[in-house]
Amino acid sequence: MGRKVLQTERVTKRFGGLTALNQVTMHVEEGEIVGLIGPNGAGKTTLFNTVAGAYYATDGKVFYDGEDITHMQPGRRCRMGIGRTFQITKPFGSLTVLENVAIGAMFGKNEKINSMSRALKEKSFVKAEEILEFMEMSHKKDAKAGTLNVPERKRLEICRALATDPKLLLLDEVVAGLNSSEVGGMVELIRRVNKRGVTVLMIEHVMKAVMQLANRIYVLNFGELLAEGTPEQVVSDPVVIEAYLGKIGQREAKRC
Amino acid sequence: MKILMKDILERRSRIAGISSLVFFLALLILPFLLTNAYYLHVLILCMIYACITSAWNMIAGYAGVFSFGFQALFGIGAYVSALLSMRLGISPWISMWAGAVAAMAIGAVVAIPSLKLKLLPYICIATMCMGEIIRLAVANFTTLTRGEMGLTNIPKLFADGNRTAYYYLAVAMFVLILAVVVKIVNSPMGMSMQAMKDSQEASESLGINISRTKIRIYMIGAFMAGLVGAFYAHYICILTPTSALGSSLMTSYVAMSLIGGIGTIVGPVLGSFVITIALEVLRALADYRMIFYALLIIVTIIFLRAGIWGSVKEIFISRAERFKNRSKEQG
Ligand SMILES: Nc1ncnc2c1ncn2[C@@H]1O[C@H](COP(=O)(O)OP(=O)(O)O)[C@@H](O)[C@H]1O
Ligand SMILES: [Mg+2]
Repeated sequence: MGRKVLQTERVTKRFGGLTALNQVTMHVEEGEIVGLIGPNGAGKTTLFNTVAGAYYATDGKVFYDGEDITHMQPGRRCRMGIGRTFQITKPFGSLTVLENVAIGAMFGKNEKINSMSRALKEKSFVKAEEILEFMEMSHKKDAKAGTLNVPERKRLEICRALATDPKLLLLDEVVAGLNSSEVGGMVELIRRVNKRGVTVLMIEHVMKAVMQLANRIYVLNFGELLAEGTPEQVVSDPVVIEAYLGKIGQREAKRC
Repeated sequence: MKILMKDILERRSRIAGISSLVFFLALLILPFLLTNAYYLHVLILCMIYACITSAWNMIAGYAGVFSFGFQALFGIGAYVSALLSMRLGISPWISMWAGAVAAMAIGAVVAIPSLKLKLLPYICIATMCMGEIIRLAVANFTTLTRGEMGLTNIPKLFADGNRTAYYYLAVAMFVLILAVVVKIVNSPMGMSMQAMKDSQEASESLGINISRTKIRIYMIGAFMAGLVGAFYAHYICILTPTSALGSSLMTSYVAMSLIGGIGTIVGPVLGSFVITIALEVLRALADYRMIFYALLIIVTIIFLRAGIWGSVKEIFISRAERFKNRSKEQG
């Protein structure tokens, strides 16, 4: 069994009266690709937010590499090695694609940087070029990020997060909304990222992608963990079929 | 044909370099051409506005932190330096720096609680109130500040009030402040500011400490505002809460930034010169200043969304793009 990169312990998140997450305990091991699925509003994105620091858990604890990060600033978590993408993409619209990625390289890695350093800036742009090359986005590098279409934006989200040299990458529905030929390309990319030594936790509705990529899957429903297991176990679990997949979804998932 | 685009971009930065050099050389030569001291006075006012508007624009235009109490920092610099030199007999050359440091300190006191607020309207209201509180405090602390009667006979920086000397000092201050603004905007910190403006959440997720960045940039801007305020105090030699701390100053900074082009380096400088000179030429308008600003802002927003300089830039970029596309088709 690998080392646990991420571990949540009975994480609860309430928004006023709404319990978006209820005592969720899960973990991700080094080198894995773990899927997180569940119906809309199940709390998947909220779980990402408590892990990445955009929200703080109301209750419970989040551990990264064995360290308690429950109340840590998001920037600090990034510098420790947690990279994330946003389901609703958040590009820096007035900056170019290259600049977007370079920012990740500038600020996302080291705790102590000299924010006036020209050398840091130049180094980050070189790194950003490499990442855009790797992610097949080089042709767009001079475009303003605000002008990108949805698939390109999703790709940019991943590029930016990768520029911070994450150990753990949280992907929030990066496949959803792509057409079927693009899905194949994205699946391949995620696999390549994982091969580079990045542990991946991915939220996804497109079962085809999750089935191909994930070593394990967690199913979330109404803020609670419903099931956990290998992709095959999960898609044949009657509880999961009832709550999420449905009969047709199950057939489709099994065909993958 | 790829080289062509690079050419244009390189030429663009060279053009920028050359034209700013020409501009500053012109500023240096002007006193020899303008024999009328009044013209020098107007240019000094232009530079004072250009300095403080550039500082405000660095914070609002680049980092997206809209502080609406910035005039108070100018006023604090002015009052602290004036009072230190008047009451304690400190040389104005030294008290000016004390004024700048005081503005920076007050800036930090304002910034630390209010910049923790993430939503723009809260930041606007918090900073606006702080500005008014400071004005009221100065207006009512009459034993020290003489209130609305104002401070008069503030020591001069040059014994005979030599206007040419003041002019060159203003040029030096202007060049220094602009150089620092350019340096910051082009640094990694400048990039983090622009990122923050577009999305605070995404910036944080990429490792940027947004509240630290905001506080830092606010304190740097406050220092600049304080320094300019102190210069103003020892140049004009009269201070009242309305003239040095009034909220109409704030309106000027906003109007100048918007009309010149907010979020650009040249825009606020251009806006400051254009508006200051226009108001001097149309002296009759002085009483209707606010109406003049309002009309100008409305016209700019309708016809020149990005301000004068922003629009010039957009035209240039779209032409370069078209050029690039055409050269792509050909080769
Ligand atoms: N900032 C917020 N404030 C209030 N409610 C929220 C907030 N974020 C999410 N929620 C609620 O939490 C629940 C889970 O949302 P989310 O995590 O986005 O679901 P999923 O990503 O699984 O579709 C939803 O009911 C949503 O409305
Ligand atoms: Mg979601």
